[in-house]
Amino acid sequence: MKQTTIYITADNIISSLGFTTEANWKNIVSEQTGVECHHDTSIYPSPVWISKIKEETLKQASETLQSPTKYSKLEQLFLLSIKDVLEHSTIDICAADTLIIVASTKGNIDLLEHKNHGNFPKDRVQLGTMATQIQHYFNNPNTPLVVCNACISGVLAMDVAKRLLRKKKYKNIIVTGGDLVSEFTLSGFQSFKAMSDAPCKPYDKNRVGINLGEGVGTVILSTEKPTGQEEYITLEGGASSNDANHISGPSRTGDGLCIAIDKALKDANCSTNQIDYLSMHGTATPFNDEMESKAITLANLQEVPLNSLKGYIGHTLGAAGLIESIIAIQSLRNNLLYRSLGFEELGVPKKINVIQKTSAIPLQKCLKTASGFGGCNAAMVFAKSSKKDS
Amino acid sequence: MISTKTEINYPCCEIKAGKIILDGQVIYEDKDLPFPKFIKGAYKEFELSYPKFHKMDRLCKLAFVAANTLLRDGQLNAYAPTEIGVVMANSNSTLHTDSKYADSIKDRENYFPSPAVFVYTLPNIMVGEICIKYNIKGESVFFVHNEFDKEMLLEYSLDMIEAGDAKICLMGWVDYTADDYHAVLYLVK
Amino acid sequence: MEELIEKLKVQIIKQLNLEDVEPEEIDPNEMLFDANGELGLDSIDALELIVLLDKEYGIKIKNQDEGKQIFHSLTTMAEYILQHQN
Repeated sequence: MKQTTIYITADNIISSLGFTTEANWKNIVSEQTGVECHHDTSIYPSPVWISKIKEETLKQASETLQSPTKYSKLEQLFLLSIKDVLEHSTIDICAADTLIIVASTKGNIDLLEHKNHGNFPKDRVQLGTMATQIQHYFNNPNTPLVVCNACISGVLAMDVAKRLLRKKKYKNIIVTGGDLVSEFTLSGFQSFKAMSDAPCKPYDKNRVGINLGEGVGTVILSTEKPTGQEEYITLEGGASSNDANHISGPSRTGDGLCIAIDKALKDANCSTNQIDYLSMHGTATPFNDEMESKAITLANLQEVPLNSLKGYIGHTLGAAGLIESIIAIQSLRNNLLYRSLGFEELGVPKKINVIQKTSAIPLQKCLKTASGFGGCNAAMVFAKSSKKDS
Repeated sequence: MISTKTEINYPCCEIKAGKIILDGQVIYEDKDLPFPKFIKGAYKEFELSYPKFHKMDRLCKLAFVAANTLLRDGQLNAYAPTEIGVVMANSNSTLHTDSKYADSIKDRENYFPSPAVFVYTLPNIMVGEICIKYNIKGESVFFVHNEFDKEMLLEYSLDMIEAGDAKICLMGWVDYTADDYHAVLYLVK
Repeated sequence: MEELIEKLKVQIIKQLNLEDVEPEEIDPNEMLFDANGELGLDSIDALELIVLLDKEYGIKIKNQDEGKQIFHSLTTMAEYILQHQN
């Protein structure tokens, strides 16, 4: 049975590289990174390499919102991102057949207890309450769904949307994912000795860990074919899986991620030789990247060119799956593969095809993956088709 | 199609107010005990014998005992690891553990962030713990919503099964705060 | 040295939540991270031992590789502490 076609009709990224998808894409293809060394003792005792959104830029942008001071930093980012996608779309966000899905790992964690200086009520730390701020700002009638599933939240939120759209429960779903760089997460990842003391190096022999990043990514997924466009991007299929191995360490075999990849391809009715490009999770920890190389090989995708975006914008946690998918889609649209920043020499057990030079190449279909704490994995297939294909 | 007021007739384990209830029957009770003592009592009573239990935070202990009670008759044995789905939710995410973790970092003079606490500051970890115990490799999702929308979670689980993405689904709500705890888990097929 | 080892046993049981383990059950020369061992310690426990060394003894360990040698057994841990304690 042919599945309902799901179109990605608009998108936005807010990160250290800019407040639009275009600004981010432009920086990435010029190989400009947003990862810098910051010294801010309010969030970390010593200098740390992170990707941070410029406060001044956010302050200026937030003045375009109604009553911006009513909203926390992360809420402002969500609102700005959704506002941007709506400006590039004709959907009615107030319609009953429009839903908002929010993906975040820690939400308003910067408002937790001793960090909350009384500007916001205690319950704003609750993800459901944070999501309703977004819902009410745009007068959407439906209680938003919130996906809180570690680093796969962004991809998984799109998979949830896929399910609901295929069942025709909604016509349009705005999927938005975001997380902040906070004292909470910085100290936590440091306690795991997972952070790099330099720009991260996914898949590289000398990789030592991640750079945390903050950002928001938003897409509009729709069952209505967009009009007036020569090309469409579709969400062809997706899946998730669990390693059933360890709550924080990735599987040593990669079989869990391979299960998600295989299932996503099957869901997309797509074979491995139709995949032109892999947008991987590639956090640059020793174990994650090793696991991915094994999973890619098990799935028979080891020849396919791949990269990780983490060298440009860091690991944006709940936003990662969305931001990185949007950039993967930009690659499809522009037939351009960006260099996997930080990579110099392969340092994973299985030979995989890491993109070392930004290059033009015809692209039709790509696979996005994500993996996270709790042993979870997710994979998603995106495709580009032109008007004449349909 | 399910009406919004349908009684859910799937096998169910509920834990609240010092009681563990399986399919409507109270099978363990120890009221007036603080949660840690209550859940440890149940763990010992049911002879769960799982050393990693003691490393879990309270939210995961609650989920773990609920899942073990619901699945005590080996109901998942007939399914391949990838055929089992998990759909769970709560309203507080991991707030109790978040607070505990925040305490360990708020004083820069006494700054000892604990990885064993930090790892439990994601609610899907309870899904991970259950998946490890029962070798579940299928699809899963964790939602954080202010209200326990039983119908929505049930519909989502049934949609997963109908789409062929799972043959059986562990579905439910597990929430913990300093003042209260509540777990309701169903086995949906 | 024996005193330190006994102290470490109690500290480790507490730090790692080894609920059902008594101090006398831990053999100071036994490999702490033996996959088939009684204690069932994993990678998070290794990181927690790094926290323990910092908190109780003021010793900072940079990463898990450095920790591997030090945490081989209780005895090697105690030796390291005696050499490096502030």
